Amino acid sequence: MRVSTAERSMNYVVLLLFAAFALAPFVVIVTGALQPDAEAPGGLANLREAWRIGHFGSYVRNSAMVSLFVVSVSTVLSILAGYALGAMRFRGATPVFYLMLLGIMMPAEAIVISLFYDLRALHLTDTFWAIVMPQVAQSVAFGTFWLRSFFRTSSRSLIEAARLDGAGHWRVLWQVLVPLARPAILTLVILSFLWTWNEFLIPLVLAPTNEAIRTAPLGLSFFSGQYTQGFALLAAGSVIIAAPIVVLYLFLQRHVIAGMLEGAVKD
Amino acid sequence: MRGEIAVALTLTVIAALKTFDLIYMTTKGGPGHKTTVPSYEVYRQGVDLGHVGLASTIGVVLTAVIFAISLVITRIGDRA
Repeated sequence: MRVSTAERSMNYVVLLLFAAFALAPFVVIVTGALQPDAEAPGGLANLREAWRIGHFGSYVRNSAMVSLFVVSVSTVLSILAGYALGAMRFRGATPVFYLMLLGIMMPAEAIVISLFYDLRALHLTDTFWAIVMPQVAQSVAFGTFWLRSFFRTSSRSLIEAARLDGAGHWRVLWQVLVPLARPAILTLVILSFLWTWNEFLIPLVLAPTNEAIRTAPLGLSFFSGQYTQGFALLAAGSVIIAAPIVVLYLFLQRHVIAGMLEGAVKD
Repeated sequence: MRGEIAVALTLTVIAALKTFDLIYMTTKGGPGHKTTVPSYEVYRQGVDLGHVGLASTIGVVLTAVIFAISLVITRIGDRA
């Protein structure tokens, strides 16, 4: 397709405008984080200061532990459930699948209050488990849906060949299908890591008072009220919290895009 | 592109309806009730005011609204 110079430059103008629109908040936060003010020395020392005053060390460690647990458990469960729903035939598969769909569509806001009372009856509020278990459930619902569609479209004849060679379900799944599904699984890992790391409502409601297990986004919100009035340290805290996600995404971005396309085209 | 637009629309509308942390951090629904949203109201009624029943009701209604909106958008998206 031939595109005139005017049209091409117009495209660039529009794209640049949107890019600027998307990047502006980040520029404001990063420059804000490096500025000196009444309680902040300025420059990279701001990050050190925010880290020290805001106990971000323990918050980031908590978030890392929560994310690690949620991502690893939910990925394994999603692979197993996705295989069952995508490649095996059994009675009741359709209702189970619709149950999973419901799990994706149900907003956490709708269930979080009743979840609090359920967990309180089990004496689990304010514990690590109160934060991770609901998020494992959310991620498994999405992960099963995601991997089911992948296993469904993966080649039948390949599975059949493996079966004829004497491989059981377990071997077909872990030695034939999982290596093939690597991009899809990687995308799932990144998405669930992102969601878990950023989750705000669940730790806020289900673990409201135990500071020892407070996660990073929650820590940031307490930091803004208790420890600082100025903008510089708050911005520095935000940069600290956002950094792991950005770094992870930059490393794995190529795989994410590949994984998304993997799911988009069927042949 | 109708299908893609429908998917993007569904996801963004649901995300907008579910916004909680932004409201919580910036305005807390105030001044008065000017900037409150259903998901923030769930938290305020359930946790701050202790109206657990009302909070759960708002949650159920929010879910129903999200279902209805996704249904309508999917319908429009399918009518190619």
